[in-house]
Amino acid sequence: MTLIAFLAICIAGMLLTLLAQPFAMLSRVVAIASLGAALAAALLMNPNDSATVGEVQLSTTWFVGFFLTALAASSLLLCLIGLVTGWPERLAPAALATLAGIGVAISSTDPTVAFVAAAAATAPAALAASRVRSTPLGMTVGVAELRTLGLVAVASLLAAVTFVSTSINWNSDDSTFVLALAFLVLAGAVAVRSGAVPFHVPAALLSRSGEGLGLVLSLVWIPTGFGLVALSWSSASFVGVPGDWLDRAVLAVQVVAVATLILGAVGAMLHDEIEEIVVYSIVQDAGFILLALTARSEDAASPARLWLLVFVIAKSALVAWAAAVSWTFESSSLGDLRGWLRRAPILGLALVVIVAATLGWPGSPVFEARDTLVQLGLPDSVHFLGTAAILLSLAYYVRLLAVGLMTPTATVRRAEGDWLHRPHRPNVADETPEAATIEPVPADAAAEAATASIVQADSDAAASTPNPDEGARHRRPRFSVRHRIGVAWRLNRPIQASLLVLATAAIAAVVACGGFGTSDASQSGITLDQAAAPLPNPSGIDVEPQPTAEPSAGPTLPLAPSPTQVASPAPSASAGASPAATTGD
Amino acid sequence: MLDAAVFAAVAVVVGGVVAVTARDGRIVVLGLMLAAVAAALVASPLPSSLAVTARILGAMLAAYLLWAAAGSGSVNSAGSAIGLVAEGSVAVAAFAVGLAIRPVDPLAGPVEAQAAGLSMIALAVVPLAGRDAFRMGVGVTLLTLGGSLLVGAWAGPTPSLEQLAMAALLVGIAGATCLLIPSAEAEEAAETNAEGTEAVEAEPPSAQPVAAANRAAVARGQAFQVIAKPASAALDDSQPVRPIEPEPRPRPMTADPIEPDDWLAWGAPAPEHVRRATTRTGRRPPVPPPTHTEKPAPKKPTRSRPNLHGKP
Repeated sequence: MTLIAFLAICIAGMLLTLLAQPFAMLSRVVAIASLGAALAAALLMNPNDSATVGEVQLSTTWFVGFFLTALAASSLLLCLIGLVTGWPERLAPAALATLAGIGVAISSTDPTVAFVAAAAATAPAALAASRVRSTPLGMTVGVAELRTLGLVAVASLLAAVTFVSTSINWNSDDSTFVLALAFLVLAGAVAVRSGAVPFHVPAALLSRSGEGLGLVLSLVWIPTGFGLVALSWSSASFVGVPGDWLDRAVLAVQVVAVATLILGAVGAMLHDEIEEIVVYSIVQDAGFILLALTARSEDAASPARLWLLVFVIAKSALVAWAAAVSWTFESSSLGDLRGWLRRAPILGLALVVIVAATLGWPGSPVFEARDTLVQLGLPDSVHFLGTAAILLSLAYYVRLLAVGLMTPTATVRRAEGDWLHRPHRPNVADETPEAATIEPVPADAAAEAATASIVQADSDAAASTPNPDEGARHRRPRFSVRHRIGVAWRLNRPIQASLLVLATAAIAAVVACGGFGTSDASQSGITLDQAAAPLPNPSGIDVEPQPTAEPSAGPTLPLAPSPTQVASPAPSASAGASPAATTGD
Repeated sequence: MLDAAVFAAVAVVVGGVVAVTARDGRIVVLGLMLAAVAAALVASPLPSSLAVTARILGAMLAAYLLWAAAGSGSVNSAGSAIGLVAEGSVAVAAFAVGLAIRPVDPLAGPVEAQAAGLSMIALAVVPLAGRDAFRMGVGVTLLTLGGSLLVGAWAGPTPSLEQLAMAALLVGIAGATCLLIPSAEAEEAAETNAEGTEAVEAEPPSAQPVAAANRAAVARGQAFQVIAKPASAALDDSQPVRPIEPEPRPRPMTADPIEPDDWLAWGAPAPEHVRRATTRTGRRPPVPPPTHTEKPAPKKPTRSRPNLHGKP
């Protein structure tokens, strides 16, 4: 029932948010409330919940709840940051639609339903891409987006057919050809959707559109959800199956993965716009999803799931960081942003935390997960590429930090930064209301000039009210506490954005360290993983449908932990995403 | 006796051919809706009424979304480059191939579903290779319908939730298509920029003032030209945004509608009153018919075809 509630909240929230679009304030309230409700529903999701819709059973696992929680939390945090840096009006409904689609996809026991729902969940990327439809980029981005959607749909249907291959007799001498073709198309869909090299041009174009926070939907959330279902297909249909065609298909995907790992980092180093650096960073790290697909080993499933969780939150934090920096300094060019770290230390700290969460350190779960994927996904002779990818990633992150430590440019000096600003109440003469200024901490003429207008408006408003002391030569403008809080709130917008980014980064770091029970949750797969093996006909229905389709006639799935899960330690009670996991409820 | 699946499969193919070949956006949408509705019925046995209802509602909603985009009049399909007969031949050939081959033996679903699926995929190839967003959306829809038909043929009857998910996917594709169709001004600007001498480069995010000026120019219906700048260059409000006058587009001979006073030049059949007048007098009267005034009617230019290229 908790899963149905989650889906209902997402769908209703999406519709309400779309309906409220003409009303700016209402749409924001509805969007934030919907995302908050979705997050709460995901947090309260019972890991052993199930519901039957038609002949198909929707079931949850611990990882399903955890993954949906991560997506919902990232969506909510980014929308909250958007309230400060500029509201992404289409992000919230698109995120809610994606959440609903991915929720069905990763909880379905029927592979066709799972793949079709995963394909449908990629359609909302058009909402983000449509922002550039009125620019010369619009035609190129739109056509690329539709082509990607078509590829994803075809790959999903082909994968669904080959997933149920136990009940299909292919009329072919080498049935692995069909499997290899399905793998190639599915991996291609994942690569194109995540912008892997050489399919990175649409993602790069999108980064130049000023899309901001909307990038995370197209490049992180949707590819991750689709990749999760693809990983389930890979581990169910592909592991341990020999064949020359399969080897060739794997080799092709390995080439794309290696190119993505190396050239993505090179692209991030060569570009000067923060959005482009962020996009290439996301593209580079998406290469690990392709590595997980090529692993052909059951041992790759758990680290891949852990990496996907970290990828979702850490890259969301990175996109939020880029949006906050661009908004704070009103520029996204590194040439203008020299010295940004001096003016925005909280954002600098957030970037360091994001780097730590993304790359990890030897011994940390995320580092081990990346290393395992490299070891299993690539031949022995190119294992050094994993280290090279880490070093290249460090290079562009260090470049960002080094630019931030340089002498500030005029653009950076003019900005307020994320220091704390307090409204003062200086003595104000009636004739010189301009003297009612704000002294920022640290005092700075540029920041003073930037904030004076706010207090100017406030002092004007205060002066318009009847004042018994009017006519006095020197007086202090009367600011109510509420008024002062409002002024302080508006003065400290940058610090609000910075703290939200830091919070997102901190969550990413905790997840990367295995906190919240992440390591244990990643041991359990999605529902499709557990539905694949034991059923002779995983589609859940007979070729000749029975007239009585009672809920109990659906597939009875062994939703108990898989063997790897049994071997793992019991989930800790600290897992906030699924408190009922330890109760066996 | 022919099964209902046969008629549904034929309806799917007819709808697909209409969607691919029609030029009027609304006819394209009707063809797509016919194909999408009929595709839900190419099954043996038929899905439950709830599943069929979900698919039909999804098809209608998808068609409505596209209709809303095409109904404004600004969206028309470029039509087929190879013509109705050729597209129909391709569809029929693919249908015949689908009836003949057996990649899966035995088929779990009707063979007509496989034939119609292959036909849809064959019809989708040409639109997917183009750069027209509307036709691209049509192609993606046909491709998805073809894939779903093949799944039905190879894997057998599909559960209700899959029908619902497929309906959601079709609605998603239609929604994405109508969202991603570039506005007429953007198309014009893109074409104008493509014809220009300077290379068009997308503005970096730091070029917000330029982008804002460009958006304002687009809102005024004015074509614009983005100045190519190095990515590291800081842009400010003083950066030049050079509005340029778009040249009138040369009209193709057959695609665009004929304007009222162009019938002589383009060889279209003359209106009824003109034909009657011509028969009586033996001469072509001017259009519109001259009114009886004191002044003589102005002399018409000998070339009634508009001077499109600005040459003297």
